Amino acid sequence: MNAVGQHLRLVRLMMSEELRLNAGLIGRVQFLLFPVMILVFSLILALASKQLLVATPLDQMYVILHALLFTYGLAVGGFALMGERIANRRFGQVSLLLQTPTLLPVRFRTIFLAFYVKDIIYYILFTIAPLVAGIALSIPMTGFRVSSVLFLLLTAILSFLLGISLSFSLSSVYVRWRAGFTALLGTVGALLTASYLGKWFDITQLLPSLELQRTADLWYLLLSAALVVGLSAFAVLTLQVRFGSSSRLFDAEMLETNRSFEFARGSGTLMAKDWIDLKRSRTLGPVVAAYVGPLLFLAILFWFVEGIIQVRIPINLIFYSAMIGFFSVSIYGWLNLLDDPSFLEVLPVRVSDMVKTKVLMLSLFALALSTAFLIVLGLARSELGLLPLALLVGYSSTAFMVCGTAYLTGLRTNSYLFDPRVLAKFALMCVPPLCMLVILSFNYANNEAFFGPVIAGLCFLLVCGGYLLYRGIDRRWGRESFMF
Amino acid sequence: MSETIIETDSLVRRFGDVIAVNGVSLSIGKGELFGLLGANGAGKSTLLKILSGQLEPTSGRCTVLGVDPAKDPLKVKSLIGILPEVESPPSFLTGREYLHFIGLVRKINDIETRANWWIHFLDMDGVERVPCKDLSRGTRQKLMFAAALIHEPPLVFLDEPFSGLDPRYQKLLREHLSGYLERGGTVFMCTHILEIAEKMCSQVGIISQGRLVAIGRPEDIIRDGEGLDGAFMRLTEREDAKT
Repeated sequence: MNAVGQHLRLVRLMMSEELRLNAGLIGRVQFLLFPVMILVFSLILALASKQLLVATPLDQMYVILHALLFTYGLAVGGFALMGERIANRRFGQVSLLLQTPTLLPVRFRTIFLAFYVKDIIYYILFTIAPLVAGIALSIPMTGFRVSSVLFLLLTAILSFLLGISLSFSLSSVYVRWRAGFTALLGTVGALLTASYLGKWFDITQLLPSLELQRTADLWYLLLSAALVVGLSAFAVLTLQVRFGSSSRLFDAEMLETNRSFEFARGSGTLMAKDWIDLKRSRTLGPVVAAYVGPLLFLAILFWFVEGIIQVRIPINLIFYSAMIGFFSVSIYGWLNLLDDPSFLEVLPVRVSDMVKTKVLMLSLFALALSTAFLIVLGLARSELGLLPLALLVGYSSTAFMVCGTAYLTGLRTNSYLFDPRVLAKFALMCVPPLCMLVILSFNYANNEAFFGPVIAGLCFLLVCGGYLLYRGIDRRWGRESFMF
Repeated sequence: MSETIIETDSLVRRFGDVIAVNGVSLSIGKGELFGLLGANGAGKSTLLKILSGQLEPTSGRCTVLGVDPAKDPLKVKSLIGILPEVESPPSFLTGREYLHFIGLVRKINDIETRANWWIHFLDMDGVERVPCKDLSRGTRQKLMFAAALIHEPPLVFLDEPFSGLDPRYQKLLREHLSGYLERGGTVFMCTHILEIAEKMCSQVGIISQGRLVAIGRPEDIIRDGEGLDGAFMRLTEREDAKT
């Protein structure tokens, strides 16, 4: 077998591994249902395209679609950056083909290239193909041209590839030259922000696949392809792997930390362990960023829309506090990536105890971060009068969303959210109260005496719902195993 | 017969079409070291997991220290000690902190004294500040051994306890187990190192394809002119031929 044949065989083996790993996590049927769900979703959107086009111009739809796919590619690559570390923590003893260079005479570059190709094929088949297939299925009803749909498939794949190749190449820079990575990211970020705010040029023109979609100019096809190949080649050629990282030494702090968490009674010891894990695994930063980052982004975005573009949106502090609950779900996901919990299997600890510990840990974070965020934002927006109601909304929506996520996904949040049945339940649980809170917050200024008590009443219901879900955690997860 | 610590009756565990444990009945008394011998995939670890409350049986019944592990796994786990097959202590705690964690979960009052004893006993002073993820496999195994026995439980389950350990620590831990047995402890050990089983076990069971094909004192199972390895080959090959 020649080198290309061997490489393709390796890609096929990695693909089988990926499919079995995911199917093993959430079940084969649920796993296969995910692309079906994307297909149905895009079919519905395509069928409603006439109505959608009335509210949103076609060009804006292209911008949203390509920006999403580019970000998706970035996220896939970003996960790969931390992938091995997280996989080791979460799956413990599960051995992946990616680790074979440590044992067999195979160059890591060869394995990495196969892994990269596998990731591209997997995500295209798993998400992009069903997305475009849904649009294709609507052709008899919508009358879209086949050539347009195929062209969309091409540009969509290019946007995804640009994201993933940029992410992988940045990963290589990060591993080799951490300070350079920070400087590069900071400079590019500052330039993009400045150009966006200063309207130097249309920032969307930076994505050649989007320009290809807009203009059908062959030049953008060549540019996109060259960028994908160039960035991928850079990532593979500059790849540096450090087997066996250096170890840091730590003084014992378990007993002392446990004393600090004694207020949590039965969960104190598990919380103390999670706190030590958070500090030592360098996950504290990402956890805070995952929570505060989107909130800051929203605050800046609305400041820009209201302050710079002068478009009045009835946003107030209550709106942000409703979002807090939604974003707190990401912290819960991060807390579940801290460490492989399988060692608890041999101790008198139940999975539900650990799930409840994560909920309590998150509550501490949410309490501190959301309170600080809302106070600062209230001061900045001169809306401190809304602070008590905003805090009530923030705490209650967080309690409900997090207890619901914990109840539905246990200790495998990121995996279970790929299960369409769980995802549908999650959406049914989160979206209605979130929409109601947003609508109520928009109307609050019109009639405070009426909408204030209505919002407070909804918060009460959310707290009750959160409490019931929290109590249900024992029933749902009490007999589950910690083992993967 | 001494007090019965473990009793099983027709235990079965299926994984889909595979029968991992097939109608196992046995009884283990206080102070015994029971060695469960079998080839890879014979069902040793599955049986250990059922008895220690980590896995529910498909059918049959069992009691461990008078408790049904299928009904109250938490109670069983609080009474016993378990050394799992795969050494996987928490990644970011140091060895000493892991023992502290065990002490806190198991509500051991003098945990610092006990942790000190085990760290010195297993020569882990040099690595006690290293997070578990950076420890060698052998050191992790020693740590898991300490974690299984630090609360001096009346019964301990050991799954391949000597794997990854050098001969010196194998000997040290064998001696420790002898002392533990003399103090009234009971050991249920899965192993495929037959020499160790022959030397240490008061009773052995040989499991093949989920079935317990022999159980008794080593000298009762071994025929003239063969060692335990010979008896093992004879009994497991006979079972293989049946299927």
